[in-house]
Amino acid sequence: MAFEHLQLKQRGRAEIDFMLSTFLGSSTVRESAEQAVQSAIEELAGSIEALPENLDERNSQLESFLYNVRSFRVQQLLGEWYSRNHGAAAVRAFEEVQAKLQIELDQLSSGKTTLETFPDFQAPDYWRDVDFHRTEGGWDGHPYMGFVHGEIVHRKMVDSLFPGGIFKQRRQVAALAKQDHYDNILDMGCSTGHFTKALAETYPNASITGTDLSLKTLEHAQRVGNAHGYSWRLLQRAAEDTKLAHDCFDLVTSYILLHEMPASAIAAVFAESFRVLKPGGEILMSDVSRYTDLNKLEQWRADRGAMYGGEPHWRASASLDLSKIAKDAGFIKVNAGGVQGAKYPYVVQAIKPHEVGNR
Amino acid sequence: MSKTPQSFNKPGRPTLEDTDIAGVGAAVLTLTRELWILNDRVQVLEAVLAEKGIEVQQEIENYQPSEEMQARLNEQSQALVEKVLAAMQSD
Ligand SMILES: C[S@@+](CC[C@H](N)C(=O)[O-])C[C@H]1O[C@@H](n2cnc3c(N)ncnc32)[C@H](O)[C@@H]1O
Repeated sequence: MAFEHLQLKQRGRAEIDFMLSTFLGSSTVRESAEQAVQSAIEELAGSIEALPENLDERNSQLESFLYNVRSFRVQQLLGEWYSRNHGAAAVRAFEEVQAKLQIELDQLSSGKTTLETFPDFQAPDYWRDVDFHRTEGGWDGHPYMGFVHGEIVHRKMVDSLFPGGIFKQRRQVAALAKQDHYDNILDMGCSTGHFTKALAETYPNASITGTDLSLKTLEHAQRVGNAHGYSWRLLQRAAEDTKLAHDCFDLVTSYILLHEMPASAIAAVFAESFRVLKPGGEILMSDVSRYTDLNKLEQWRADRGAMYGGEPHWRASASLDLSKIAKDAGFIKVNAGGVQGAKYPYVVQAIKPHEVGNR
Repeated sequence: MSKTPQSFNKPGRPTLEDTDIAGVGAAVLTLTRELWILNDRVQVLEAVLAEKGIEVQQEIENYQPSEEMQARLNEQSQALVEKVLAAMQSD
């Protein structure tokens, strides 16, 4: 059985509906806050382009104007409340149904999808003790955080607020890889396995390996794999240091992993992908919009979202030129950009050359 | 100078300050949430009672709103949010 049709109990269901209502029911506030933003730009700079180059300076200028406007302050309150409470609301909703699910959760921990942990494993400093998404304890903040995030936060919250739905988008991104068949796929930052599943559906004959730092999300990926009868190999390993053999994959992917990593680790991820790919193998990395593709106002919005949404690495990560990083790692035929003219998702595709000579 | 008995009428005890306002806002929203959950629950109770007229507790716990009812619930909870936000922005 799978969790697609998870039924919450009344309290959890209504609480989650309400969390969404704080967004969907606040359009009046958001509209008037938006007007204030437009006036701030007019007053402070005259145009979006004339706003300060430096993001912190831009933010403090805009804030000095906007915090005088009540609707803006109320909007900040709503945002802050959502950030602080959405994770806990999902945990509460889970705990109401946990007893009912327990047998199934236990059963799905064994099956053809395996999970390997290693005594020498150590999560990097940029990840450990970070409350990603402002969820207390971050990715491993609850014994069932993988279930909570994958099945409740994603299915019941993110999917409703995300244009087109995040599950559908995973399938669209998975389908962008260039070949019709792959033998061996590595999914980096696989988390709860939902992009991994999109890969498995798109390339049914491929053997799939997934890595993540978070044990709790990997445990859920294992349940997802087993629920659908897949034989994934899941490893608690850093994407930039998988310890897997050289030249063994023909596709390496990541879906919204990179914005959770600092620049040096991202360069290392591309280098590691290069190392584990067979010559002729391919990468498919999907992440958030590049700041260079956004105007100064859009950058400011994205940046505040990151600043207050538990995304410490977003700014530096979204400012990187991923296509240069891919080339520096040795990849050729590098193609990077938004999908179908959109700025999001931003996808990098490239090939490991057959002849790896002097670069 | 000793205090007059009358000064006890309005002692002017300091309570909340401007810096507490974010907490007040959060409390109002928390309260709104609780109120909403209760409102939702009552509606489910009514719906279930109307259908059966008996032992309804478990049914309420596990009740999954129909699409139509969900749409109504969403509309009403959003309207409640709107109302509270409007009050918060009044002088
Ligand atoms: C937004 S989630 C990925 C979503 C996932 N691909 C999906 O489709 O649901 C980001 C994940 O990256 C993981 N992560 C962050 N840094 C990592 C690293 N250096 N190596 C492996 N995983 C990492 C986090 O633990 C988290 O599970």
